[in-house]
Amino acid sequence: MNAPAQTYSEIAPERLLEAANAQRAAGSRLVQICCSRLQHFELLYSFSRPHTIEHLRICIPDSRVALPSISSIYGGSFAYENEIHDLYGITFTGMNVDYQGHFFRTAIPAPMAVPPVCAAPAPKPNKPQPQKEPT
Amino acid sequence: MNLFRKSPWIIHYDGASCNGCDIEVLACLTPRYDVERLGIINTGNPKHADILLITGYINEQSQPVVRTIYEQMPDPKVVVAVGICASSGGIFRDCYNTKGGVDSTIPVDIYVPGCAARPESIMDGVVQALDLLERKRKEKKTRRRAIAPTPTSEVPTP
Amino acid sequence: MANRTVIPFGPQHPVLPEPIHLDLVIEDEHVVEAIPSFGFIHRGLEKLVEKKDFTEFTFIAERICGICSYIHGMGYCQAVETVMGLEIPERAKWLRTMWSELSRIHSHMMWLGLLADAFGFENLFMACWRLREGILDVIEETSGGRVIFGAAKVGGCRRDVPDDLLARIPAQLNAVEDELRAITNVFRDDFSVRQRLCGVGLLSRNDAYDLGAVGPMLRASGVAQDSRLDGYAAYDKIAVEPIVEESGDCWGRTMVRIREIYQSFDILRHVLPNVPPGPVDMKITGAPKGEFFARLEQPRGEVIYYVKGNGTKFLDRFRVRTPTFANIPPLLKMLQGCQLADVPVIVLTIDPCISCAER
Repeated sequence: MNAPAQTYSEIAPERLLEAANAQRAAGSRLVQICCSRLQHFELLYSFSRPHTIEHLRICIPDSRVALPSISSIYGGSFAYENEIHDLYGITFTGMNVDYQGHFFRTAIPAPMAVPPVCAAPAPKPNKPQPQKEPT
Repeated sequence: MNLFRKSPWIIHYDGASCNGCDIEVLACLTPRYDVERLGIINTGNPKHADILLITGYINEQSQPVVRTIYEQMPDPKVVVAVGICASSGGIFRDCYNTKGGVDSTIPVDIYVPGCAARPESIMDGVVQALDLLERKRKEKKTRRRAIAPTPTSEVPTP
Repeated sequence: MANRTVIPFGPQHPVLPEPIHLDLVIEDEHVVEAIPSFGFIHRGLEKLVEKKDFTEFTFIAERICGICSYIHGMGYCQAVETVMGLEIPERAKWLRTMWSELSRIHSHMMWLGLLADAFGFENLFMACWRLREGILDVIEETSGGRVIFGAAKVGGCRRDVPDDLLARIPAQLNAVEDELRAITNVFRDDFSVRQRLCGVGLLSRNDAYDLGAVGPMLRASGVAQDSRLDGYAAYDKIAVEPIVEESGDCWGRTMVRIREIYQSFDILRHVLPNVPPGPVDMKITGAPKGEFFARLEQPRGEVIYYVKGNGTKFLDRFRVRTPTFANIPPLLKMLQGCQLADVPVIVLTIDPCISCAER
């Protein structure tokens, strides 16, 4: 198996632009941006070069923290940023294309921002999810 | 067999499916299965259509569209829900953005099982829809006849 | 001063079976800007990991999309297996390779048909789809299903394929391949097809790389990137050469996909006689703890599965970044400045799979 080595490193939110610039200078390609809702919000920016994939991890305590957009560096990142904004409610400042929350039109705003029910040690989650609204 | 019996026309709407049933509906039109030999034509205009094929479950976005298409279709009409998602919401019924099967929005006549529904079962559903369409048409005709001579039919009832 | 008009494209468009909505800002027949909006098929299935345990979730992963269904299931399983440190049996790896190449052929042939339909060549559309049934027959014989065939499983494959069946498949594939030559020759040589595809929807090499294009989009612009080179499943024992075209237009993307079909036939001819004997699945104990990004090559391009487990049966997070989603920024770039009549063809050459993109 000659899979590329994957490395994870955690950076502070304010160092994001600087790190993205460094990746760009090294010739990396933006693979994806992934947001996870744990007890906090965790964003993973993945950059790939032919033989490595680097993941930059950014942790923010809640969705009111605005993050800088990297779309001035990677023009294609607006799709991921708008998606995260619509599903998690995190704001990105300075996006090159801003859909103002109309990229994913969901029935309920920021549906993925609800913390996971099974993150607690109890193995069987029986809590009803607020998935359906009465019409 | 009436010589002037209309060939039923179909309109296909993709509610919100995973594509599996959609490509099988499309496969029905292609040479191996070829539903067009039954006199069926896939049309894009709801006002021309007799049978509405819906794949996928209903969500907030597609609900008004499905309702409009259904209302635009002339009577008699038959709705066929293709696949498990269209029948009940299927594997995605627990998702936050779904509203359930097609019958949550419009009345459904025929449910086609399968995930993804096989072309054979889609065709079976369409053939059943043809029979039902014919039955509905006759019912409508007899109802019209029953209503038309109102003065005489009203006499025996007190 | 030219007039600006906004023309909505979709959500129900005759060319695409799927709902995609684009607002096209038009200035004298030329598209100035395209603004997409989603949410017609958004299900939020990533959130379902909290309700289904990690083995059941394979079925949901397979239903991210009905066209590239198998590779979705397989990629999810691969991510979970890596997190759990499982080394699946060798036979399972080779069978997975076989099914993913069969999926690639069926997806590309379907796409060729849809493209033919988009530029109004109905006969070619029917011919492509008729031939595609031959591949679906092979898939059905080996797995029991046609498009969503549920053969993936955490720890291997759901069912074994008898050796005598494996020995019979190459003849079936050869028959399909012979007939396919006649169809692809039309794409390659027909004047009117070239007229519609050459020079349309240009994407330069730099734009493709910067905007994050993947798969045939990236390869048609001259970048040799193919995730199969990472050597997942049995690809580490197969020589895969990325197929690259330099032209960067719709024609180039069509040629990349046509050549990939033949490449997949070659891979299958190598895989089928070499499937080793042995078991196809293994017992799974415990639950995933840790995180991993699995990277696979789908018919539409590179796909990423992210799995984060917390040691219980329910995952913390599952994410999939599908190729269509990554190809949206390049698509918007290509649409700028194109003619209105070319929009359906350009949209189709990214091989849009909206249910993948919206999940």
